[in-house]
Amino acid sequence: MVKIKINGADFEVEENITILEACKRCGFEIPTLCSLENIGHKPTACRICVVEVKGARTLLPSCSTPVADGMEIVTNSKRVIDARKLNYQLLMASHVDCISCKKNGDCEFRKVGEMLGIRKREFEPIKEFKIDSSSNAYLRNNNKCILCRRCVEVCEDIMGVSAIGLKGRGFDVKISYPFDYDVVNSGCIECGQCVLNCPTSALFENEELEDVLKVLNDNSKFVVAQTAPAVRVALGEIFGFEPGSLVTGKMIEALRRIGFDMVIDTTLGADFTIMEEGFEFLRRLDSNERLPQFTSCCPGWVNFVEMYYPALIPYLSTTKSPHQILGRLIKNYFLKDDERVKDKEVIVVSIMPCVAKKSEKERDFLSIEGIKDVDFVLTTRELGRLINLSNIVFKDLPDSEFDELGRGSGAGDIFGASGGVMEAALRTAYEISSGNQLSMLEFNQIRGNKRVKEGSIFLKEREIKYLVVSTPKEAKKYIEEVLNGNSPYQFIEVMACPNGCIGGGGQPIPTTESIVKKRMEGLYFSDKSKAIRKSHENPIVKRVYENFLKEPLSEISEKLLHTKYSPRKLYKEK
Amino acid sequence: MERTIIKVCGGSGCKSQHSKEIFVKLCQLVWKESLPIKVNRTGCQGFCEMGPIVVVEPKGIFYSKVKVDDCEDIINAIKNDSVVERLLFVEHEVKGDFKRTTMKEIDFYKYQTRVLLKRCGIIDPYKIDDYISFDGFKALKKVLSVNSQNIIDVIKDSGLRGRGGAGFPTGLKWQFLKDAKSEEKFIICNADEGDPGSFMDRTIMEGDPFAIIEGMIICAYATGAKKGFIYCRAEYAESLEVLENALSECRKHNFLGINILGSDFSFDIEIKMGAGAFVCGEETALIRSIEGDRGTPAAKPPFPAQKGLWGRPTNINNVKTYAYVPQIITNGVKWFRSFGTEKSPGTAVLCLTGKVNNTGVIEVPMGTSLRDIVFKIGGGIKNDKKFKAVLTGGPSGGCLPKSCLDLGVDYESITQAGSIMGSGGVLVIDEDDSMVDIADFFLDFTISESCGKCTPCREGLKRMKLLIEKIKSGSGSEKDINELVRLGNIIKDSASCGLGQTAPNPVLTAIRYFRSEFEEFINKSNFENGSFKFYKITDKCVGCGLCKKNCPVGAISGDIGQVHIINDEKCIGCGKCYSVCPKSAIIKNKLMDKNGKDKD
Repeated sequence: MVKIKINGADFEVEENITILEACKRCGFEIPTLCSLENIGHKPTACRICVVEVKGARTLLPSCSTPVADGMEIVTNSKRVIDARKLNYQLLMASHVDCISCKKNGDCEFRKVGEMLGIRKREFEPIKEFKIDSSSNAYLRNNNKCILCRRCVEVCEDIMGVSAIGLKGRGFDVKISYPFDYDVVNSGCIECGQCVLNCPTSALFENEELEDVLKVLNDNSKFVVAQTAPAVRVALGEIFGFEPGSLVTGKMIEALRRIGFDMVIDTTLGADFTIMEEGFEFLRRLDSNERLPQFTSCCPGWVNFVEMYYPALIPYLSTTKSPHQILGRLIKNYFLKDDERVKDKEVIVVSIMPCVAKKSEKERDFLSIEGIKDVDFVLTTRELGRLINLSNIVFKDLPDSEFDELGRGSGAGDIFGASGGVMEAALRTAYEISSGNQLSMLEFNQIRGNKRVKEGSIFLKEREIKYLVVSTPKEAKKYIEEVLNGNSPYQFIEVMACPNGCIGGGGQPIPTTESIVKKRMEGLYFSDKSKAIRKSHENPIVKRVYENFLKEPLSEISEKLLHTKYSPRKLYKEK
Repeated sequence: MERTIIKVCGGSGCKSQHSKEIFVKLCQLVWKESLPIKVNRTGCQGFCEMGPIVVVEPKGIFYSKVKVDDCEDIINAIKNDSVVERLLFVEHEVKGDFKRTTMKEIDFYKYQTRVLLKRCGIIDPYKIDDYISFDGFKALKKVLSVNSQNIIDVIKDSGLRGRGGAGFPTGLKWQFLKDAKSEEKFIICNADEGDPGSFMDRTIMEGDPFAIIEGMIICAYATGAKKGFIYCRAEYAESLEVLENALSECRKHNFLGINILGSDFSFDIEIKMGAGAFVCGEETALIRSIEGDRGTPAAKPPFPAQKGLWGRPTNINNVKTYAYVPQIITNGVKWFRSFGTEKSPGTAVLCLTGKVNNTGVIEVPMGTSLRDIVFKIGGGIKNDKKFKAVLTGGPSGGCLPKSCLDLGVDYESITQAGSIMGSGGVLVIDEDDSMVDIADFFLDFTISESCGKCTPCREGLKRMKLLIEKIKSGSGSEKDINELVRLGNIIKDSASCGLGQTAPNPVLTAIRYFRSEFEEFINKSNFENGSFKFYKITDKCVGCGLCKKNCPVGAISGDIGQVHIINDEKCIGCGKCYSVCPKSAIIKNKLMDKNGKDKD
């Protein structure tokens, strides 16, 4: 412990913590814009968190300066406030209008401005950038960029993709893709982690709210909402619930009140994914080909493989991701001869914790005869906005249930957490191949918030080693093993976002490691409280296979529930 | 009789003026006639403006601006025991005997105290034997039998301060590295000299490279580092070549490598080339650059001595700092402290440029007054103009006015006056220069050389630039000048690294000492049709057309024999017309004139 003085008062704090942290523990909140505790990012770029330290020649950044015994810190002198205000004003120049800004209300930059009592803009904007709307996943508006470098840090240090970086020097520095290419022609996998961590609206999901509102108000459309498991444990945060609170019932009720004609659970799609992917795995085990099998429900991960490791494509499961499967089944089976959709067009809106799904739905092999599996994808954050837009007081909502034809098992619930797909697949693969019941459904080795988890199980009289990885950065090592032919694993699950979809790029802001952990607990709780916890035991799944698909990997299943991948060239000509 | 030696300067400056061809020609002539003359190439003599320089020893005859065609005359003069009059240096004096035959007689050299530069221009930088015969590696041999702490104590006692600009005590820095616990430690020589118009480090690298290497070896021995780097910009081609050669010579003689001189101490040095970013002179940015990353300064702490190159404890010193070390070890603390002041002992190697008669690299004891530097060594202001200011410390230094001329050049005094020592640039500004332009020019430099990381430096400097542009365009107000001061002070206070913390200095000191020049632009009466009126042609004009001919922007019009007119919109205020007018018919703006008088 060290003794320090903050604004004249004596405190005792732990050694080796930063001034920012020390102040926080002693009840002083210092505004900061660039540092992000969650990812250990402190570039000391914004100079908003500066404080006076007795004896120091200049002001010091509190986010990176450690406390020392006897340190006398002043956080609120005129000198400090003037510097913060000026630096804020300098950053604010190109932030012309808050009202028209997409981040309005959810803006970290604006919150700091409020804290500093900024009332008017001092400097005229002098930079002008073109808005990059080439991606279906997100927009890049460099005019709003304050060069905090969080996106660069996340892309490089957390994701290991390094698609985004700094270009130019001095006043001309900007965040850019190599050669100034736009998003789609760059090496971006569209995971949206940069969007999640951007303090302004420089990086922002490609909003589809307007389009959704349009179809909701169109009587010739029958609009179905499906919600991913990771949304139900995060949506509440937007409305003041504790992180990880399970708000499934309120969410369904809200969607009905918004005007969706049908609300179903993506976990049902997940159950089909498990059936198909599980059987695919068993078949590969039999023939001992294309092993290890890699999961493919994460579009960010699929992008990564297609762009950076095309040689790995044969190892990917060809099964579509759950929401695509469910969208297809809704259109081709569940509502095919339904009275309610007579003379109407079925529109599927997926509520996802993800921005990459916005691009996924546009892929070539995810529409049949011009009809897309899924028409629109909204992020968790967009759903929050839609609820507010519809004048719904979320916390007061009664609980509702999913439409009867669209309910999934507990196995589908845990898809939202890293390790969940593997656990769900193993529950089914084991029971189907052995004919025995699992004594315990929880695969604890692959739970928890580690980036790399592994375990083994006996399947078909051999030991199957499986691996669960989140983030491409961690996956690289294991991909190399596979390509070099010395991988010890038979089944590998990869999710692009840290900890899987609960930490997805479309989740509420902030999404930190501790918040994600609570969301994870929420999902496991949701699984545990369900009567049916295995995909192959879901009666809807059974019925669909009996009446329509015949069996996993049948001709019709292959046609409707499987897809193709193709290598993609990086930095192709503009 | 002593053998005649012809020394041809091979520094970058002279080389660019074909000194290499001169060297070859002289060799050919000597060889052809089998004359008892030795022709040597040396490193930089410092007086680059007068290059190519050829010195004939033992008499020390100093020839300047030599051409290849002059070589025969030089050889003939040696044969006849005479001098080539036309190649002698002419001092900028009007009275008395102003032709100088030898180096010692020239003011530029006479008033210097060449300690660090003692071998520059004397020895052949490519020959290790030259260095050895001139006290080289004496210090290294001495320290190898001494406890490493004793060496650090000597450096501490000497009071040597970092010559890179900040003036941090070198001994203390070494102590940090010695005390750092790590299996691997590095030392780096910061040779990333980037100030426009400064080339002190280059002079030493090209004139006395072994001294730098010896200093680094001693530092490594004292601190426990096994590997050193010299970080030098790629455009210093000559320096890199000299250093590469020096390193391989040292390896051959076992001054570098395994078990140096039979001891159990091993050390080697590698050269790392930079792309020439000014900010890479900042130590943490330099480290990033060596690692292959973008040269962006990092927050300190952790200091390099804790976590430097590849996360290992690292010591970084400037070229000059390392080069001092062998001499301090050999000659002792007392000797070193006999130069300079109590707080800033030793000498200062400076680069004198701008509107003075003699420009080049010079060395004076710390504490020498700016007046002596400008008027004695520099030989006063060019073309007998009036002195206006001197900018010390390069592009992020400050402009000091006449009232500061008696300031001694040392870390404390210069900082107190609002400028910095920096790495040693001294730019002299005369009455013709506008301080607003000077401030504007250096702001341009720091804006484009800023790494762009922190807000105040990246955005703030640009805003200062816009304010200066506004003021220059005539649409500024008193408020804008105050705003410049406010911005400048906050940028200094809250920027991340040394670059941002000093970048506003030229503007701030220009306002502090020459505020009226900024106010000229604000005074509306100095403007006609929205353009600032710098000069006016009076009735005295005889219409000779000289001003029209000399105007670089074609702002002057008029027929021969008629009174000419200046187009204020085009005029940039360079003053060329004013200085060429044979009838003194052109007058300066009265405000500019008044200020000139005020400063006298």
